[in-house]
Amino acid sequence: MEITDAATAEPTDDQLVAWTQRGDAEAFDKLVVKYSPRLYGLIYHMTSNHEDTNDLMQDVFSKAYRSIGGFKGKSSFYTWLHQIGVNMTINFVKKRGRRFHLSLDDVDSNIQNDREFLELTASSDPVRETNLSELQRRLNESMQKLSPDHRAVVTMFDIQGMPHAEISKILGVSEGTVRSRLFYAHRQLQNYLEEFRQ
Amino acid sequence: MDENFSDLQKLLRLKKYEAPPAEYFEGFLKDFHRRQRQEIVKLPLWRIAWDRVTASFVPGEVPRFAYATVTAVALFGAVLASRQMVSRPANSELAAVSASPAAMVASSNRLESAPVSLRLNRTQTVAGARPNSQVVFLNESDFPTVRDSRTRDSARLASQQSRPPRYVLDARPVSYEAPVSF
Repeated sequence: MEITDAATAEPTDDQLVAWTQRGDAEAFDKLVVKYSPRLYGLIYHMTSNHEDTNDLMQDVFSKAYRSIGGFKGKSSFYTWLHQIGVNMTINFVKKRGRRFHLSLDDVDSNIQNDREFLELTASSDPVRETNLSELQRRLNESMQKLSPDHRAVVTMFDIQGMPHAEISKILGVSEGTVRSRLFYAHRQLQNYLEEFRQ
Repeated sequence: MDENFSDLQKLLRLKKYEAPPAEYFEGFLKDFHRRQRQEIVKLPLWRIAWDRVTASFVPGEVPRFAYATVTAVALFGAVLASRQMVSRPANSELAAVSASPAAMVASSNRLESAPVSLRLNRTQTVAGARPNSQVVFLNESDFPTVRDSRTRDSARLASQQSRPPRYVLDARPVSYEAPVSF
């Protein structure tokens, strides 16, 4: 069990889950506020569509709320919520198939100050010459060419920065499987983004 | 980009800057509440029950030995079902009433009057047996005797007499045979 931070007196996830299980809906609202940005990132980078992401977010939190009575605390609430999110998004993407269109969020202007972005534009001519929205479109199109399972791994590892162990727990596969999926996905993405090679 | 995918990974990390404006997350909770209320109105009872059942499982986790248990239960059920299917024809009602009650009484009497020749027991000596030969003693209970079959038949008769009689025509009556004409 996590310990409540005495300085901020913010309740821990375990406490919020326990209160929700006892019928306190406001406790669940706090969990929604806390995790919606990360869950949004997970779903958005797998769908490349803002509206689909919004619908899926609603569905995921609804399912989590209905199922929270069965949450035994074997994993963290965060892992459990991501399990629901990944499974529902993979099912959605498989059903959607190739019938999709990109509906991309704006790129935050803070990217111009990102150290890695600066390094890339300094070292790579193609990246420097491509405008930002074009780069964004190409990245999303390449992501959508991956299978849903590979896309999930790339999203969690490369974009959200989760460790292999956490991803393996969320997907219910071994760490070796996570690594091999990552390798295969990277090789595919490298082929799709060939023109960005120096 | 190199073979270690480091530049590719740098590019992918830039995707984290794709995000909705901050107001989106402020309004999300209100949308969620509104949608929950709508769902409660629309949701059928079976769906609520199903959600409660599935809620007891952690998503993506299958209990250990679950598949083996389900397979064993299915096999056991199949064996039970097949045993019932095999034994049913012997006990079927049609077979029991294939002979009329009168015929069964007659056959019972006939069996009773027949000589019993296969009864052996331990007290009997086996005439003509050589000293070292193996002699097998048979008990009366090893073989169904006429008395046993009579007891069974009378029990079956009693159960049939309590029900209204049924007659099954095995052959066409003589009167229905086509007349021979030249």
